[in-house]
Amino acid sequence: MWKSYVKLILFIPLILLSLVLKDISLMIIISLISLILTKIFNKNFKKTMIFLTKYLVFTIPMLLILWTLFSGFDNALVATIKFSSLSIVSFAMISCFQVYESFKLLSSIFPYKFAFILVLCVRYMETIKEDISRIGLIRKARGFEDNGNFIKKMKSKVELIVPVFVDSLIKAEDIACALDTRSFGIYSKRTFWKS
Amino acid sequence: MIDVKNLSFGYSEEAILKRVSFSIKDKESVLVMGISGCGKTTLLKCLASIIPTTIEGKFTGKVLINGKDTQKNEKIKNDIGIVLQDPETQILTTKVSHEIAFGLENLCYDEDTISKLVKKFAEKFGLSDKLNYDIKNLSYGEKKKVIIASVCVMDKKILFFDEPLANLDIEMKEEMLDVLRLLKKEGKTIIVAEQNPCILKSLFDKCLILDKGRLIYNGDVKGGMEVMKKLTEHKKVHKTEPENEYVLNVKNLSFSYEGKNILKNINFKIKKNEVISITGRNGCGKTTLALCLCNLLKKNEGKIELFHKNIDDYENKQVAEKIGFVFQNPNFQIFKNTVTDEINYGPNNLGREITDNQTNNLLNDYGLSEKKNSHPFSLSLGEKKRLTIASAVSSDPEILILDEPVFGQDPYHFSKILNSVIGKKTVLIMTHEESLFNISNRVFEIKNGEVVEKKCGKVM
Repeated sequence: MWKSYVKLILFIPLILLSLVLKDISLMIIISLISLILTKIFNKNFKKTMIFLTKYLVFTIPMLLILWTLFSGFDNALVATIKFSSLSIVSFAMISCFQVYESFKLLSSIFPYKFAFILVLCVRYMETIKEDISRIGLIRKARGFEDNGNFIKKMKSKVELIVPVFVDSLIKAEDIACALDTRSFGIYSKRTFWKS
Repeated sequence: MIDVKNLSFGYSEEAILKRVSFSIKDKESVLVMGISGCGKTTLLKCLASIIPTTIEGKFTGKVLINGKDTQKNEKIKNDIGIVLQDPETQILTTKVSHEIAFGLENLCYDEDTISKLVKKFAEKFGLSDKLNYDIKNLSYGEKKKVIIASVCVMDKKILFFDEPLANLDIEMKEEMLDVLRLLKKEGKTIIVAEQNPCILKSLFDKCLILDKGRLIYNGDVKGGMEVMKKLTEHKKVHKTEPENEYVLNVKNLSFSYEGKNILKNINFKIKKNEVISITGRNGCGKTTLALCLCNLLKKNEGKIELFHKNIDDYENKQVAEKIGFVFQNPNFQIFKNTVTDEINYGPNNLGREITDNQTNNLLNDYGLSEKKNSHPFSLSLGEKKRLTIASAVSSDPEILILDEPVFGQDPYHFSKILNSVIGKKTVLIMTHEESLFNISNRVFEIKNGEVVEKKCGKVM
């Protein structure tokens, strides 16, 4: 448990700093520090980095373009760096906590039922991600082709969401059932076991 | 003692269970049978008091456990454990040890007791060396075992199992049977819902059979088997000889994912109108192979010839025209709002005309004509699975790939579907079901990423 507190103590000042600071060079240093911390605490460093790069490659140009349209390039650059360093720090922090660990930590702050909902969301995110790519493949097997203009493409993405949504709802019923059978929530407190 | 009096239930107006009454004694093991969609799972959920407290619906009648009404006594739940079909959705944590401890933590046990119990039960279920594993990396069968262990560890007196053997390979089935035997020996009340109960026979004292939500049999297992035989009576599926022309030729196919070699150096040829079963342990790469054959996953090495032409030279649409693919989870393959639209989806994508007459015939063949205008998601699992096969067949592919088609499917309709397909199309079936080996011309087994041909005679 002390280890997760150490992580929290290290990361929270970083997040606060990246919210408050205005100096770009300091922001970049902070995000580098958070990456070094990730390297120390996270076993799957490579995988996390790949995911982060994918995310940044998409968001940075979008932000730059949109911001430049509204308030000029200089402002846009500052805002983009600020935004991306904030997201790097918070992403690094999330990646350093294991699911069970964060459940323990969160339930010392919030009621444990609420904490578990948050944790469960993270746990199922990956499943849903896999489901979406699987459904895309299935649609391809039915002869669907992803071409046409932007609006058409967005429409076809919506079509993917319906099966994922319905399947998740059906799964939610099963999850509820599993929670019920393990007596989740019958007492207002629960113990946590150190393995 | 479980007493059920005039139990009726439906999620909406349509009742799934209709006036069911029976009683189960303590320490009795009961088998609940019936063809898919008859209400087995719903019955289990009602008995386990998941319905109507957690899942709502139109509930009438009474379920009494040891004389107490389950609707009024929330505490009864502590004595009841239910293990559902799909382990994936019942996993609540990430590590095996945490998963087993989860229930105990909710019951506010102290750390020492939890450590002791987790160790004891891991040993009991043969999971001791996997306690620190990530559940993600376990096989399907092992996941099922973890779930059962994590429910049993809470010392429940009544245990419900929904299709404990579904989708398991032969070795895993045996292990699961051992688990059930062990629980019976310990004097638990066990209620199991199962569709293909042949190997389970010796384990049970009593058997209940449901048909369209009504209880039609309540008695010993032997008599129940006969009733089931009548219920599942179906036309024989006839084997046909393939034509002497190769449609699919796989040469040195290899596939790896995240550094793991899933398929290694696979070679086989498939003739026109041949029926082939591909089997292998859970997670051995059956689905991956099927996806590679459709060119949906890009292979790392090797060559696939489809109708004597390299598959890479085809466009995605042209492959979809030739190969129809039905996946395991039917929820993932529904994109339209009515059953009819769903069937027309494939042909429309391919720019083909499909007449109303053709659609109606297809709906008739697959026993879906009554549900023509319903939303596909409102169908039962068996109906959904039939719909997915129908919508693959509707675009008239020459090769049909079915991934675990038997699961959740009643034998009557399934044999009808097979009869309509075999001899007219090349069929590849990815399955554990040994009964399908009989109708196949050849059986392949995937072992350590390689394909070996199995001798059919030996299997049966």
